[in-house]
Amino acid sequence: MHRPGLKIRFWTQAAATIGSNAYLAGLKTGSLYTGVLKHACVPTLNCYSCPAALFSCPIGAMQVTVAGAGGLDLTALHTIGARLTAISTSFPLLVIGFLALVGGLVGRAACGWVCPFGWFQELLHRIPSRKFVGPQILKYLKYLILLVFVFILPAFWLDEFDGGEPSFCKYLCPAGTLEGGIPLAWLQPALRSQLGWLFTWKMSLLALLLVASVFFKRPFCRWGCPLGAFYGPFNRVSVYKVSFDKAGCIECGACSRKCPVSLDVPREIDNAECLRCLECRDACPKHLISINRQARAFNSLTHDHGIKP
Amino acid sequence: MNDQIAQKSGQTSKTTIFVLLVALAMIIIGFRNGEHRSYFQKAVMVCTQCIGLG
Ligand code: SF4
Ligand code: SF4
Ligand code: SF4
Repeated sequence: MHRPGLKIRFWTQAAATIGSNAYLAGLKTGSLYTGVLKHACVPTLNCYSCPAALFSCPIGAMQVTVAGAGGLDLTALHTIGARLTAISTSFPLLVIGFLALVGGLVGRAACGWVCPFGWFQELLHRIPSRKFVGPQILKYLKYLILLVFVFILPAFWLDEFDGGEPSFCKYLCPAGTLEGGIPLAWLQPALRSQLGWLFTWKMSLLALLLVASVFFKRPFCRWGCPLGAFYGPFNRVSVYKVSFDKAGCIECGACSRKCPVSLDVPREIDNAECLRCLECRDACPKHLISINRQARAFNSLTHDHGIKP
Repeated sequence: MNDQIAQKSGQTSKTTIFVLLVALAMIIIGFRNGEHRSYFQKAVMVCTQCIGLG
């Protein structure tokens, strides 16, 4: 039986996308919002170089804080001690604390409910085509990306100006290309003439990912996103959890077909990949999936509103 | 069995509270260190790395 109340997730995703990117003047002029809200991060991947963005991106903010130590110049041996001290004191406490608070409360639910880039991949997956699950082993890639591109390279690598650099933003982030690179290149002709191999590389990555999203469910969230990797372990300890009554399961597969990250729900529900989106609860004909006691207030919000996209 | 589950969820709650308290402490220390100012500087200018300029 379908519970239409759950369609509130679609509208939550739409509202979060618009709410965090509501600087309309930026979309007209190609300038960025410079107000006080940018001191705060959203709990999801949302590029602060998007001309419409009102808030900062936590993955960008983490890298900037780590790179603030200035990298490590191995050719200047006399500076190594001071640089290592700077690196050790440039740990992004504020952003990590904020993300840990969100993760501790709701686990990976921010991914399932309010991330614009996650939502965009879901929308692309609605395009009719053959669908694939993809290799499960790739899920470990995102942990490597978090470690190497968000922490190690920004801390130790020197850019061409002898400073630290936000390596994930620079070489990999598809959200930055989609939300920052494309609109700014469009709105600022002066920028267009300066684009080179890096832009071509990032556009190719983005194109690959967008095409992959049609065939695979949320490929970037499952395999590449460092923020998804950060949140994943919090699913084990968060206040809000999803529970499953295994004994009554008739293995009909209805839940797994609806899962936006291709989980085998009866066996993998609530693991580090689960987005706490409740699509499986909505689909289960036996009503075996529920949310835990602490999250009942949330349950009442999402249960019976009858809103459809 | 129910006892086991109750015990486990009790343990989970303690871990959860610990995680939330550490998170709050990190937020307070990070805020006092002025971390938000450093990424604010970056966020209000076009980030050449984000957009693929280098
Ligand atoms: S490029 Fe990506 S990680 Fe960097 S600030 Fe933009 S969205 Fe965030
Ligand atoms: S894993 Fe997906 S939904 Fe979560 S922050 Fe990354 S892009 Fe957004
Ligand atoms: S297991 Fe259920 S709650 Fe978790 S991501 Fe899949 S559908 Fe959503």
